[in-house]
Amino acid sequence: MNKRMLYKGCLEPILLKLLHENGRMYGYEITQRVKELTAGELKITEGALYPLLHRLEADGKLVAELENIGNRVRKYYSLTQTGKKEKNKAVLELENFAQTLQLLLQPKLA
Amino acid sequence: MLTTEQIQNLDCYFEENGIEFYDLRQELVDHVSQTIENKMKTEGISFEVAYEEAIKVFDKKTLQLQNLEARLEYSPLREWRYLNAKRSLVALGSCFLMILPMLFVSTDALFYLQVFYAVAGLLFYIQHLYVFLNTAKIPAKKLRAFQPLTNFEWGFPLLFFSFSFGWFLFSHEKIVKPDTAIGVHVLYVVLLVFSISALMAQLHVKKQQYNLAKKIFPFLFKN
Repeated sequence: MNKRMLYKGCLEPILLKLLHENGRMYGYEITQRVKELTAGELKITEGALYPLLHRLEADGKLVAELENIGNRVRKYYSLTQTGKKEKNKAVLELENFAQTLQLLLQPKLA
Repeated sequence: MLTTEQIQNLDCYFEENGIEFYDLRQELVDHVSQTIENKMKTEGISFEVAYEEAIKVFDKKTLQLQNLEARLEYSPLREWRYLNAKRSLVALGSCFLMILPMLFVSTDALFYLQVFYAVAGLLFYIQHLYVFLNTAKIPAKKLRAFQPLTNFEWGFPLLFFSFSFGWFLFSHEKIVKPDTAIGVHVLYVVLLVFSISALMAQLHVKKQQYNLAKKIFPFLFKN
């Protein structure tokens, strides 16, 4: 199976967790941070990242602020209170999912 | 750091490739600019070469998808999400407080009260329109910003005014015969629902503005 497809469903918890740990981040920074943390194993594509960021912003989980960086504008995202709650829920779900997978892939012998 | 002309070229690229939303373009321009700057710095290549490499990721299909996503996410119809239980109660309470005086004043005073509401609605609309036009000082073709609340930033006062003015017309026998105009009733209910929904969005905007002001001028909010 395509590796990118496996990661696709995990993007939201990853993103929420990153923003929780780093306070506020912008799109490019997120892609680079993920690449760095996973030693290049996971590359978030721009086509997946921005729609997700915008969806989370529209859902009230993220709040964005614009800042002038020289001659261009940069959009920083950070978690809202709802986003923080959602992050805990999403990360827990992902952990449970990983444990379930672990059970399936490496079943313990009784 | 890229020059203003190079940034403008990037903006043009995204505009020509169908990204109609100004905000989204700004974000993509920043992303590509950062990529180009890093490439120029680490690989020691020219802007032109770095540009060609960085832009490859944003082919026409990817950009069309981005634009479609933005259109769906920021459709005015999605403003309904602001209509949650708490905000609905606040809005209904506000409407009730506006209507309450109408029940108790004399017929003569009622006329003046309704005129007052209509004029207040109009002034409110003009004030908001003025603020909106001043804050959105960007070329008209770039005005299609997709920030979720932009639609109601100008829409709410208009609806509020329509509502106030509609109420005024509707309740005066000399002007309208409401018994025969079922369509007017329906239209009025629709306007009321839209007004409440818009008010929710406005409350959301005000909260955001308050938080922003608190951040910029903390001394104003000290106890």
